[in-house]
Order: sequence, then C-alpha cells, then structure tokens
Amino acid sequence: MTTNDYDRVERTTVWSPGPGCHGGCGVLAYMKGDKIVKIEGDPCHPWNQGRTCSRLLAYTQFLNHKDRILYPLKRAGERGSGEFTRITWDEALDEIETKFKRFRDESGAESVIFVQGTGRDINAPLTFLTYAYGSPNLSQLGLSGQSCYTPRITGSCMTDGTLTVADCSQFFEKRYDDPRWECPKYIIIWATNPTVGCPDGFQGHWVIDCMKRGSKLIVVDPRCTWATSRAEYHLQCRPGSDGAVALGMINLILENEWYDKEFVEKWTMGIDKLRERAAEYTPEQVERLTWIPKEVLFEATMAYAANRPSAIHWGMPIDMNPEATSVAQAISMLWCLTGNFDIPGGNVAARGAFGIAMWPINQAQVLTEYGEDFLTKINEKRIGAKEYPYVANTRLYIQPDLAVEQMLTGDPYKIRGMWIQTSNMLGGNSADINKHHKALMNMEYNVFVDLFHNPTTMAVADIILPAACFTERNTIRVWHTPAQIVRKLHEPLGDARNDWEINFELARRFNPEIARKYSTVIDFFDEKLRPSGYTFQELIDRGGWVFEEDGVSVPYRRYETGLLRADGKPGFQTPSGKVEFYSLNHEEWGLDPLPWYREPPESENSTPELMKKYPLVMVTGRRSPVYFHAEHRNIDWLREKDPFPLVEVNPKVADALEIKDGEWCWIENERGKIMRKVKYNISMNEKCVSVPHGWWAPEEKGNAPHYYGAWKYNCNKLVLSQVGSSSGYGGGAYKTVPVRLRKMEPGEVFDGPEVGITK
Amino acid sequence: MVPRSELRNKSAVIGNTLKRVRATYSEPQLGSQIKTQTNQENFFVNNIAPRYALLVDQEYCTGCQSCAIACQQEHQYPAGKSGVRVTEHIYPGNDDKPQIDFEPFFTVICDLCAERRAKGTDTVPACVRNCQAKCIEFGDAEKLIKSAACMKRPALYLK
Ligand code: SF4
Ligand code: SF4
Ligand code: SF4
Repeated sequence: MTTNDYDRVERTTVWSPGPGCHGGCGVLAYMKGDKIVKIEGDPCHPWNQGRTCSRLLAYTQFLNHKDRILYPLKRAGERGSGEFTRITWDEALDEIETKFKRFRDESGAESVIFVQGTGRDINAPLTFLTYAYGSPNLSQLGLSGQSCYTPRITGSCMTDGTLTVADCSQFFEKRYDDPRWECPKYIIIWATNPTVGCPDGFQGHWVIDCMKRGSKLIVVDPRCTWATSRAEYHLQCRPGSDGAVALGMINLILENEWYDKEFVEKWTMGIDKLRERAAEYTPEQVERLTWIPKEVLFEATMAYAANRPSAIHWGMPIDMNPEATSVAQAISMLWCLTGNFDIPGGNVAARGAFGIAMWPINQAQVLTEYGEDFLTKINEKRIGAKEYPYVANTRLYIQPDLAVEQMLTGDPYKIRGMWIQTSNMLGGNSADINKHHKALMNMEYNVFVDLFHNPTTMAVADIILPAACFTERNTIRVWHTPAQIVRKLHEPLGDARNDWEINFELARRFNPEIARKYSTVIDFFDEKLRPSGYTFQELIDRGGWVFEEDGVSVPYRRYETGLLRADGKPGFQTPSGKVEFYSLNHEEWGLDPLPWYREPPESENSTPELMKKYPLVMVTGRRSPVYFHAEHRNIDWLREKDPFPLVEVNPKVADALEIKDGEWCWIENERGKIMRKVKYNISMNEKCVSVPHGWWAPEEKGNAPHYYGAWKYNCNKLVLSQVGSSSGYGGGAYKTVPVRLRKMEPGEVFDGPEVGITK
Repeated sequence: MVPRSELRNKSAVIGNTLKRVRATYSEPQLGSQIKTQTNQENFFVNNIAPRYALLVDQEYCTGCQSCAIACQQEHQYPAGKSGVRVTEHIYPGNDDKPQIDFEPFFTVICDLCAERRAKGTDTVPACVRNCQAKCIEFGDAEKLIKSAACMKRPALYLK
C-alpha cells in the first residue's frame, strides 16, 4: 500500500492530541476505509495555506503507536510499580464518581484540584468538569506562577483592557491579500523563536510571510537564533531582564518625544506618572541590568517608534520574568504609546469569532455564565485568591506554587484528590520535580487522562483514562478566528474517548442539571456556536470554518466603535475607559500602579555569592521543531531529528571545563543534578547555557525508581519553586537558573534518581 | 512559481520527455559537458531544459523539518531514510555576528514524488506542499532559473 492509494480525502482542522499543538491548521486526511494513509496541510485553509509542521506530518506514527493507552487502566501494584490492569469504562467512571463524591461530601469540592497542561483543547472541557463538580481549584499545576500566557494576558489587560496579538492578517479570510491589512514595517519578536512552533494561537511562519513582504525584525532574545541572524537589531538581553528592557524603551520613547501625541492625548491617561517612573530607567542603568549596549537599544527603539505600523510578537519567557504581569503591562504600553494599538499591521485586539468563548476565561464571564453566587463561592476557597490580587480578580486559575505547598501541609485545608488531564507534570513543566512528586504522593487519589504512559502516570497514577487523538474526536476551536470544527474521521482506536465525552459524562454525574440541559456534547457545541448562525453539522458541511465578516473579531480601531467594551461605549475595558499608563486596578488592589522591574530571585545582582558557585545561567525551554513540550520523544520520525537531551554551550566555556563536544556532562546546583549531552554552539552567550525542557526517555524503564529517566534528564529538577510575583501570576524562574557544568569522569554514572528528596 | 494549472498540463508532457532525455543524457561525456557549460543558455536549452528541479531560497529555510517528514510520510520511509535532510549551520557571519542557517539537502533517493504527481494526488511534491517557510519551489528547470533571480539566496537542485 502506498500513500497515494486512498479512497477519499477528508477535510478537517487540527487541535491538540497528535501534533500536541495550540492548533489551527487546516488538514487534508487521505483515507482508505477507516485508516488514515497520509495527512497534510490544507492549501485552502487561510491559517496555514497548505503547509504544516513536522508533528502533524508524523501523525500516523502517533495515532497508531504501539504504546498508546487504549483502555482504562487501574493501578494494580504500589504507586511506581508500573503495574496496571485493564478495566471497563463503566468501572472506571463509577469508581471516580464514588471517590470524588465522597471527597466532596466529606471535605468540600475544593479538596480536588483539576489540572491541565498547556492551552490545548483542554481548557474548555476541563473548566466544564471542574465547575460541574463545584471545585474552585483549576490549574496548570506544576507550572510555577501559571507562567504561560496568563501573566501576559492579565498584565496587558491592565493597560488596554484586552489581549492583543501581532497583526499578520490572521483575522481575514483573504489573509495577506485583504486590502484592509498592511504589512508591519517592523516586527519586534520578543522572547520567542516563532518558526520553531506555534504557541498562543499564532503560527510562527506568519512572521516569515511578513518578512517576504517587507517586515524587518527586531529580536529580543538572550540566544542567537535563525531570527536574530536576520534581524536588523538583536537586543541580546540578560535572561530575566525583559522588564528593564521594556522600561528602558518607554523612557527613550518619552524622553525623545517619539510617541503618538494624538492617540495619547485622546485615548490614554497617566502619561506624566509613567514618564516619572520610566526616567529611573536611564540608558546606562538599563545597559547594566540587561547587558544590551545602550546604542543598540536606542536605535532599535527609534526604529520601532518611528515606523508605524509595527507589531510586537511576544513569547512565554515574558511570563517567566519575576513580576511578569508588570513586564507585560510595560510591553503593552509600547504599542499604545506608539499608536500601534488595533491598527493594520500593529497589535490588534484578539477576539474570538462572533464573540464566542468556549469556556469562561475571566471573572466577568463566570458571572454571566454561572451567576454571582457561584463566583463568590469559588473565589472564597480558590487557592491564592486571598493572598494575590490577580488570582482574586482576573483569570480563574489558582496560584500553583501555593497549591503544591498546600498539598504537602494541608493548610488551610486538605487536598485529597487530583484530576490530571493530559499533563505530564514530572516529565514536563513542574519546577522542583522532587517537591511535586512528594505532593502528588501525598494525595489519596490521582486520576489521569492521557494518551501515553509518562513519568507522572508511572509515579503517581491510580487510574488512567485513554484520550482520543484529534481525528478520533469532535470539537470546536474559536481561537481567535475563524470559528472552526475538528471532526471525527474514524472510530477511536481501542476504547479511547474524546476528552469532551469523558468530561461531559462525569459532569452529568456530578451535576444533574447538566444532564437535564444537554443530552449530547453536540448540543453543547450547537449552543456555543449559535452566534455564528451555524450548527456543528452545518459548519462541517460548510467546509469546517467560518470567519466573521463584520463584528467584534474584525479589526481595526474598535476603540472608536465601542466593540472593546462590555457596555458598547467607545474606549477600552479599563476602569477609566482609557488606556491606563497608571493602572487604577493596581491602585485598588494595592499593587504598584506603574510598571517596575524586579530582579530574578537568583542572579548576579540578587545572589552574587551563589553565582560564584554556580556561575552559568541555565535558560531552559528553547523549543525543538519536532517536539511539543514533553511529548513526541517516542515518535521515530521526530526523535531521529533531535535525538538527545542537549545542553548548548559556548565552546570557550566548555573547553575551560575540559568538556568536549558530544560528551555527556553534569549540570548541577543546590537542588540536584542532571545529565545532558554537550552541543558546542559558538553563538551562545558565554554566561548562559541553553537547556531544552521536557526531556524524559520513553525507551528507558518506566517503573520506580527510573521513571523513564525523568530524574536524570529533566532540567526543571534544578528550578526553584516559589511564588515569584506580587500579583500571584508569573515569576516561574525557569529561565534564570544558576548552575555549573561538570565533566563526567570515566566510569561515573547517574547515581540514583534522588526521588523524594526535597530540599 | 509556475502556476498550478500550467504545471498540471505540462507535467504529462514533461514527464514523458524527462524519461527520454534522461535515457539519452544519462552518462554524458565529461568533455562535452564542460564544453557546453561554457554557454549556459545553450546548455539548458539544448541539453537539460526539460528537466525538473527543486529551487530553495536558503534565506528563508527555518529548519522546521517539515520537508523531511513529509517525504518520509509520503514514501513511508523508516526513520533515518528520506529524500531530503535538513542541516543546521552555525558560523560567524557578516561582521562576525553569529549566523544560524538551515539547509535542505536533497538526497539521491529523492524521486520528486513521482507517484504522488503521476497519480494526481498533488501537482507538487510533499516537501514543497508542506514547507512551512514556503521556500521550496518545484518545476521545470528553465523557469526556476528565472525565479531564482528573484530570490535572496537561491540554491537549485537539478534532478
Ligand atoms: S503545531 Fe501549528 S503547524 Fe503544527 S498542526 Fe498545530 S497549528 Fe498546525
Ligand atoms: S521531492 Fe518528494 S521525494 Fe524529493 S525530497 Fe521532496 S518529498 Fe522527498
Ligand atoms: S520544510 Fe522548508 S523551511 Fe522547513 S526545513 Fe524544509 S526547506 Fe526548511
């Protein structure tokens, strides 16, 4: 059988299980009977226009992988033994229902934490289940400070009341050919390597489409990348100093009067106070804090400010700054000061097509959907809501660093159970994995929904439900536009089930009202899609997606027409109705109303003694084009392209330590040690090493104490776990880890997994 | 790039011609090749004009690996085997600034997706269709030479 031997081509779109992504691509599936023989990008879809990533192209190896979990499993031996027995769905769901209801009766619904990984097609089903059960505790647990997009979203909202994204024409069906769109003159790529993935609902290669149409680049990145090689300006900053970079730029813009006077006068407030604050960030001071030569910062800032339209595309490391919400606040001021807010080729307000929100993302939406009593109730018990104003007032996540403490101490109340849906905390995001391992071991009952065994399922799972891949399931994606469907093309393998179906069924059992309201998930989808005028089936028949022609998701200058405010008045969704350079929310919540810079918890300035012992800054998390976070190491076509857990280091640094290219070496600090294979990289800053995250080895032993080598390779073992910002969100110190490299002597082996040791 | 419609019509013709030309052209005498190369225009027109080629703009290749995996999927090659391999280059560039480039290298087993095109699955090879930077073009060599002139850093792979 060849891949050109198919009986039909099915059109769908993609989100999550498979490529693992934040989704969006139009997809053509070449099928024969019930089998997918080949899968590629759909040339007709405006999102990707035919192309697609390595992970989607390797999808058949993922879907049909011999190690996929296809049946519900129940732990048979001790936790860590790796012994599981197959059970039926009824047995699994009955057991979960009984246990979770008992926890709720005895200790309140807050005694169960519901956990997701990154923003895939999981936010909506997970929120649905969590609130049906009644728990206030929704989280990306493990991820210190919820440091993934949440700080950027919430922090920037303080300035302009909305999330914005770089305008690469993604809001128009005709894309680059739409006459309303203009190509950004400059794109500032801030702390991301966009061509290596497509996080945050933004396909990285759109930047290249813009470059071909004339966009020039300014890149803020401690590393050298493909993009920095093509940038007009590379602001090579010290890891964790983005806040100082942004404040330095604000200062230059105000000092030199490079801002858009008309916009600022008419639509903003607080510029004088901002001017005063920014003046503290003189070019000399900023150079000292950020390592960026002041001339380079000056020229780059001028280029951005003087060339309208220009856009800023930003990435996750911003969330990992200490005081990340303040950094996001500062960066969002840049597009407001320069008049690049919601204009063609600037930073445009990102709204879901037809105003559809698949799940309540903020407090206001919970209020509309679930009512005031419910909102009050969940805010009362939500972990971190008392201590941290952003947790209390913005998004609905808990403060995860407090949560992990609470799992260990039971203070102020006991956590008894976990629902962990497609998140591999110990092989992936958890800072200080020893601590998280101990906390999870402390739980009475851990339920997992996943596709493969991984270090976390092996270590702590009591029951595992098999999730379906994207061609085995129905869902809707409205992030941000178009509104589109992902549809089931064939029956799931084994007994795998759509996350939506799993959560829907349990939600009905936890809350009979849901059972009365919807008889199937499709009913729920139809209700959500109503503003579009299409039902789920109609959208399939239409080809799978629809753009809004005129309305809330269509740019530009919506602050003039009232589309950005809930009350429909012109202006911005902030307390003053204006762009706030001085945040009234912050004032009310007792946070600094102006942006400020906070030094990383461990750094050359805050802990100089520690840096003598551990002189290199480990920057974790650079992306690989073939992996999505902790996934895909078991997919042959992908693994072959990036086979080893690496540490990238400047040869001069390695030479001094007598460490050779290709050798394995130790990376260590006070929290432990891991081993990595050395890759010489002449472009590395001599004070930093780059260490890709998410590494475990599916080919190694999974049972205790091995856990697929997670304790040997996972760099997050060396990362501090603590609350890193005064807002409650942001500050996971994943990019600023002091370490040292040490040569591995002949015969030296990894001497034990250090499981359960918490310092 | 050659418009798809045109390519579709042409591919049948070129497809046939290709075989013939290859047959007669398969083992050129070194001497004659050198001689004809002194006149580029005539060389292509007279000798290999009806050849296919892949044209890459190396300025834009991002190392995303889509080409390699699209090829492996298309041909169901096992890991390790592909019609194209992507290489990373890190070197001192202009003003000694670190330069990071990627390069798709087409291997001897690249068959230009002969079956895919012959069966009408697509008019272009799998790597071209799925290249995320849209930096690979496929078509008739003579035309691609002209496209290359508009590219920043073209590399032409004649097949
Ligand atoms: S990761 Fe990006 S390119 Fe790959 S399938 Fe998902 S949306 Fe498409
Ligand atoms: S043209 Fe076809 S065979 Fe050649 S590298 Fe591209 S995908 Fe592989
Ligand atoms: S698909 Fe295109 S951009 Fe990606 S590695 Fe291959 S040639 Fe380069």
